[in-house]
Amino acid sequence: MQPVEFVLSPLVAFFVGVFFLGFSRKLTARIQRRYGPPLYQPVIDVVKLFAQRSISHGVLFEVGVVVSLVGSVITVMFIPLGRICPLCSSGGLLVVMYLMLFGPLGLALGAGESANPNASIGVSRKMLLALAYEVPFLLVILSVMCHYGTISLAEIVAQQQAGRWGLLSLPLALSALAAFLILPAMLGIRPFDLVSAPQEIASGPLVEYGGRYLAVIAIQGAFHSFIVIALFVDFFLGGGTNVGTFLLKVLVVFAAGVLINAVLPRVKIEEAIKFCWKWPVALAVVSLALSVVLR
Amino acid sequence: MDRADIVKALRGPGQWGHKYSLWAVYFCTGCGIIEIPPVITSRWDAERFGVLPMATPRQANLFMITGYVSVKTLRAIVRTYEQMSAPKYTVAFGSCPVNGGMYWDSYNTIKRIDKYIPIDGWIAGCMPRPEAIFIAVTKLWHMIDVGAATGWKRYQENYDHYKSNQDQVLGTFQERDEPQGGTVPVGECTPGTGLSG
Amino acid sequence: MGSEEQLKGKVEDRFESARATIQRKQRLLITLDRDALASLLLFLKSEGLAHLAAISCVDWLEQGTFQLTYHVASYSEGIHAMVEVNVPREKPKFISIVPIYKHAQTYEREIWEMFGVEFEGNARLVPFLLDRWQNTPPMRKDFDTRQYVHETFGVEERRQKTEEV
Repeated sequence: MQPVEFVLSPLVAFFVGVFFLGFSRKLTARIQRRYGPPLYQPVIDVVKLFAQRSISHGVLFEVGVVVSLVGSVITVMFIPLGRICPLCSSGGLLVVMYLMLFGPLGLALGAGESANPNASIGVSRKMLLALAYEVPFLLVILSVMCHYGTISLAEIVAQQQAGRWGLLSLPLALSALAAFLILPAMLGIRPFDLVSAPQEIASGPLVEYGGRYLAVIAIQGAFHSFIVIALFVDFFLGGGTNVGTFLLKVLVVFAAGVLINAVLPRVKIEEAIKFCWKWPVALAVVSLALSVVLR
Repeated sequence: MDRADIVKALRGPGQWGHKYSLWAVYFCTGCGIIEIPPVITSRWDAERFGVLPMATPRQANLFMITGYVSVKTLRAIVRTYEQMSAPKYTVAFGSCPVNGGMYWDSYNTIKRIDKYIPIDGWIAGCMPRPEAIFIAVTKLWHMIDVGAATGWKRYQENYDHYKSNQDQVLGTFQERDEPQGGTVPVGECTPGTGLSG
Repeated sequence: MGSEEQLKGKVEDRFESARATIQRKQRLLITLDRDALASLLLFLKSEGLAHLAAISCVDWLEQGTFQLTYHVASYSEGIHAMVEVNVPREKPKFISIVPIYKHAQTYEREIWEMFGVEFEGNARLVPFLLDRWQNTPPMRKDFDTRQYVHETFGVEERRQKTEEV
């Protein structure tokens, strides 16, 4: 753990996250048989958003956005990205579990301040969706912790590097499947993109956010996607010995997510909760039982 | 480098952003909106120009007035335009916003949208084809480059003129434009008397 | 004998002021006094013409009447009957047929707004398509649209210059 890693870790997450935004738009466009925007289009969007005037609805409106971005940036520092891991030795998985909620909660705090009923509907959907995916996610984390016998993410990655990937060991294969099933819900992509549903609730929590606040929200979205996929790679795909292999694995998982996003429609919130609490929970419970028994 | 040069260099990226990332508020004004879905979907793909449809005016900086504007719609258009964040660009599609078009002697549509909100560009046609929309976007880029797309500034400077035109058609309603650059405390905007029926 | 001829016979037998004309196959035009309208519509509904397609209105300025046309159609035989009644222009009041067809409420509301014909019994004669309309109802033939447009929206001036940027 060196001081430079404190800067390097968020920077890697930022650049890769922004690249992913553009990459997903380009890949979705190609799947839909059209050309799509250039890969650096999110950069243009964010620059434009910073150059635009925006309105504010009060202090909490602005603070919520900042809280969500800061929460995501700090969470990245607890996750090993290859060899880069500034805060790996402090708390590990338990801290990550808590800090990951700062993103959605910060946005809910800020959006609640918008004087707009669409924002309230969007926030309620966001919290319900978080409830939906947190249950199987916690079970997955428990089974991973049981199987490797540690809460330290660096230790989990090291064990996979020494042995086999988590995906290939029996109890965790089921966990990996459960985690992959709830991955779209955690990323906020179709079929679970009902939180900021432009056609239904006028962008939900984002309805009153414009200008620089929206730019910060977009950057936070990039961080959050990166965090979720990095966790998946660290749990089940062996992390990486260096940043290069790690990012390659992240790219593969992200491309899988984009392919799902490009073809599926949107589900309702009741269906989302029913889905997340059925098979992913069942698979994660079986995986937890197996990892306790087979230790 | 003197101060003007520095300011110009700093404004450069912003202008680049405004040009290549025009987010259109998806307000379906009149019958001309039927031309927009083909434009934003796979066949004519407006996303490669950076044009995306946005559900809320707070996030949009392009307003396309497609088709005729009835008096009720004008009320909503003025509210939507004032909610967009500056700098914002408006383009009028079709002949109805230009001079009334097919409804030139109708009692319920306005004849020139330019009297009520500022317009940066006009496209003739009934309706223009999707290719005309792309030509308009590229022309708008050129106008932004030379600094001619200043509709939003005209609105703020000549607000009384626009407001008196709006009041003549709509009756006085109590929305106000937002002050330059910033915050409007919630509770100051009193809604108008609402739509009839 | 086609069913529209049967219908014509029945209508002319039961209602003395009714005159029915067969315009073409399955198309019937019935004119009658306005007092008998409600019972005629009920009779037609019982004969199978249970679909009210529309109510339309024509302003006969010289004759001084509003002509209301009720378009009823039959699902099973495909007969479309147009029932025309006249309402005097000076006193444009008529009954509402909402008890017979509930959705007539919207058509009568539109005719009230555009022509000014009042329908007694319609609970929802409130402004519909127009926005704060203070003038005479706009579809009347004595309403000068051109003058109204000039007053409200301004005379259309020709633009002289085009700016090339």
